[in-house]
Amino acid sequence: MNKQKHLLLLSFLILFLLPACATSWPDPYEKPKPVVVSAPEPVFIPEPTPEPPVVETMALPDSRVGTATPIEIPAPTPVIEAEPELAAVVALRGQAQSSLSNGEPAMAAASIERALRIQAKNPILWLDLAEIRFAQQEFTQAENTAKKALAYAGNKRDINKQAWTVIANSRYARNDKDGGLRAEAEAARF
Amino acid sequence: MTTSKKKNTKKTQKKTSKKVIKKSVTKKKSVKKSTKKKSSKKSQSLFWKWFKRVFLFGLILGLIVLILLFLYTHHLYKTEVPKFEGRRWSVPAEFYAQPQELYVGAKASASGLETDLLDLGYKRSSRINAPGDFSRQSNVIKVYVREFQFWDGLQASKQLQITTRAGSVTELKNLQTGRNEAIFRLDPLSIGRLFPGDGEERIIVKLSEVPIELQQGIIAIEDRKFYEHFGIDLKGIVRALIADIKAGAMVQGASTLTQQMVRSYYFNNDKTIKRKVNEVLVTILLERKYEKEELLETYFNEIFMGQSGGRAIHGMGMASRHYFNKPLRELKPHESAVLITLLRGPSYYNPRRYPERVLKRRNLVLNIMHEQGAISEEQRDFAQLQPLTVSEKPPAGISDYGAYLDIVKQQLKRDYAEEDLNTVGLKIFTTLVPVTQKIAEASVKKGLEKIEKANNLKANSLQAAAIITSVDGAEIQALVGGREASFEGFNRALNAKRQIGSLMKPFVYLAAFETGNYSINSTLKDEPIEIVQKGKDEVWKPENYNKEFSGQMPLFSALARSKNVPTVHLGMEVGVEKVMQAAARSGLEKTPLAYPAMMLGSMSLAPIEVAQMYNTLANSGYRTPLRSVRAVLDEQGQPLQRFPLEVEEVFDNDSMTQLNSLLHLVTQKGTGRRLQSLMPNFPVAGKTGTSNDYRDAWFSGFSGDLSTVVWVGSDDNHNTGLTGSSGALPIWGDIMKQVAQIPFALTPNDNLDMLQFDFSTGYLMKDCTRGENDVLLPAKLTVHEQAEFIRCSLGQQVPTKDEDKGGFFDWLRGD
Repeated sequence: MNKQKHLLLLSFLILFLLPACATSWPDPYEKPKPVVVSAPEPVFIPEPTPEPPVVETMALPDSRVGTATPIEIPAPTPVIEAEPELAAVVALRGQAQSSLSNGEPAMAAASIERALRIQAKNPILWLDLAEIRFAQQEFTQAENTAKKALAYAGNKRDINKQAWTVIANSRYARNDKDGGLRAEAEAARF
Repeated sequence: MTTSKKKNTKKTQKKTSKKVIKKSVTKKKSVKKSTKKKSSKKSQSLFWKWFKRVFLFGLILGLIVLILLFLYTHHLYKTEVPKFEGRRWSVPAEFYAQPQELYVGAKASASGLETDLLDLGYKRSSRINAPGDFSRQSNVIKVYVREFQFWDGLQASKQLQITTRAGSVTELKNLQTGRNEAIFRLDPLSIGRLFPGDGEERIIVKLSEVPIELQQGIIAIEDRKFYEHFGIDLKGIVRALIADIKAGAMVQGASTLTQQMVRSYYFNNDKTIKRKVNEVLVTILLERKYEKEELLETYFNEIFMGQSGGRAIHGMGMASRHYFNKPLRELKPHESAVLITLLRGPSYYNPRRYPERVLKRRNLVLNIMHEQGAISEEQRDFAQLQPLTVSEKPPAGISDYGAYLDIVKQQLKRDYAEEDLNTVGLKIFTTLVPVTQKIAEASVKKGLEKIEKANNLKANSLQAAAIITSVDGAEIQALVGGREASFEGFNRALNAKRQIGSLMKPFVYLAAFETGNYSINSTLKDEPIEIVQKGKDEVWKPENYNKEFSGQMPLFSALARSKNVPTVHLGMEVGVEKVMQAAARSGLEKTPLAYPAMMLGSMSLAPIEVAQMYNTLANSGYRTPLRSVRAVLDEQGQPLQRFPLEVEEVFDNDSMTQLNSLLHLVTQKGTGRRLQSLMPNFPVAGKTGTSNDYRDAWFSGFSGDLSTVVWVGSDDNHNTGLTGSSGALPIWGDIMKQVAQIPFALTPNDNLDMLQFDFSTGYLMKDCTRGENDVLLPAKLTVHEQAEFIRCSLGQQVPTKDEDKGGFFDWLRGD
């Protein structure tokens, strides 16, 4: 009962404040009748762009607007962005590279892990680690780590390609020929 | 001839015992009465008879004593001497926190760095002359970083200049070369040592690490003839005896350094003959076996230097840490003199308790050091002007990080023999972040007090646990086992198994997404359901928190609002077993039994298990075993075992992206929306949990960089009246707003599209501008769901509607 009262008040307020738009608004009391459109194509909204937290579309006609309180709109779920290049990470990758060529893959892994503590979501570092695991003949870990690189790679073609290549090689090394072929086909897509 | 012989025998007789002399005298008297020759012959044979007997007896007795002494000495040599040998190598394992990494772009402030350096025992000084010095001028810090053996190599000592601006490092310059350094780390904080169970603390030092003034000073004060005597200083004993007799009391000791060391080893100060004999014998044996330098080194590591709580402080290395909070090699002469002062009675000369007494004696010691040539006149004059410089309180012992070290020990036990951990001087590099640990401890303590007050609960009736892990590395950065961090006791983070309540729900939805038959806005039933459980007579009738049924509701709001009934309907459709398997894959050791009630979290788990499960969610479905140990080095600095980063994909990216966007929605519009005011404009994701009868309050969630779980409840498992939202979330928010740096974000996914939905009805919206009651979520829609949507005229919003269905006002009340 109470709820209904609230709703009544709220809807009156809305209707009163927005007389111009009233015609296009559905009746708030009725169960919403979804507009069924026979559109085979999915109705997709493109990439979300962050919007200011206040509703700006309510062009209100008169001075009574002043009483309206701003409404908070939940921000769209953010998506991970590429990390900027850091001199520290470049240096650590260099260290890892020289450790690897000195035949010290464990040291190389330590350097990359150190870099990952600085940039945990940098796909290049995960790819480095995958390649080190491959050098250590840890083929399952090499594949898993390469997948982690893929998770953060987004649409970076070279990383996608290399990560799938590591996966393919790891699968071949484990005598998984079919799996290897599939991964190779994935790599070829990029 | 005979007379001289007689004289000789008399002399010999005198040397023998009194009894013998008496007897021989009576014989002499009787002999005088008879003829001289006869009597002398007779007495001679009698005397010889006795003499031989006595001599033989003495010889045998002496031999027996000698043999016994030899056997006993040999016994000591076999039993006691090896103890010293063993002792020289018996070094407890030392634990270190994560080192602070410095590089351009690192998050750090000058004041924060200053605190870190002080905690590490660096000393503020106007010029940085030696390792361990630093200076700060507003936002620029100059520091002479100490050399340190890390698991991936030795980092040499360097003079650095660190410039910070707006909370991050902007320049890192090597003052020796003038070049910029790409990356550098400070030496890590020592957070404790694992002892062989005798309650002794020590830091083993090599003789080369002992400042020369301290070496020479100790010899000057305690044992001037150290390099000359054989372990016992006989002249010294005589000298001391004379001094004692003159004074009429014990004023001067004559124990050599080796004797003191032996005494310190036996530790008990009883003054029995046996102990004294042992002390002398063992001292002589040690002196024969070892070089003077070896003995001196052992002395520096063995000598008793004080008591701290239940721990005995042994050795100069530990004493330097305990009294000055810095490595022995960094001690200045006036500080060395304080340690020498302590040798005369560590409790009588406790510098924290009796600073004036110690200062007086220290200056006396400095005088003697100068007289004996250990320091120059200028050194002495300068040193005597210095204050005591003893640190205000002793540095952290093992108890300060006890709760955290519990998990470290647990993980080490999997990989090492316990005796190795106890005897060999391992260096264990943990993943603890001291700042995060401090913040977590303070937030728990403060948070519980506030919650008790706000909910009219008895003070100190609540308990809590918290675990903070890094997302991608799955490193345990902090662990709180109870509200009083310094109190060693029941570690709730590891051992308190409690019902997890709604923390289980995400796995129901995850299992549903994995089938491919559900999308983020699928419609779930919200109507009464009765379930007959295997082996149980009672029919299970789950209810919503508000005891109402709304008929149906969109999947995303069912999880965001933590609705029980729609979750159970969903789980029953998917299959309870699949749900339990999903939970297990996130990192449980065993798959929970597939009882329907388990879907609402009727199983009991320890916070550490929940931490693993949610870390896998935070990692977008990649499971990495939680770890608290990064590397272990043996005493020679060689890496024993590395604990490499391991990953395994256990949930597919599409399912995880949908689930995590829902856990984010929880914190925006669901049961965790209080976080909007606690951490405004910082996206996070998480889930509330409340067990039956309000026994347990949970919040588990993550930002982009950290995953944290908080449990609040009572030790006797009674009803606290708290929900996850009112009991655990405030503490979670308080911790995360201080430590989290990277906001939550979804991993990129091309298979899903960001779509706009009406939050109450779940309808897909087309061409609508954003409004208060709609949400943007990543979705992959079925053909059926694509067909139904609301179309707005261009530039319009869909109004709030259809609240009759029960959603809006229900979820305002929370979980």
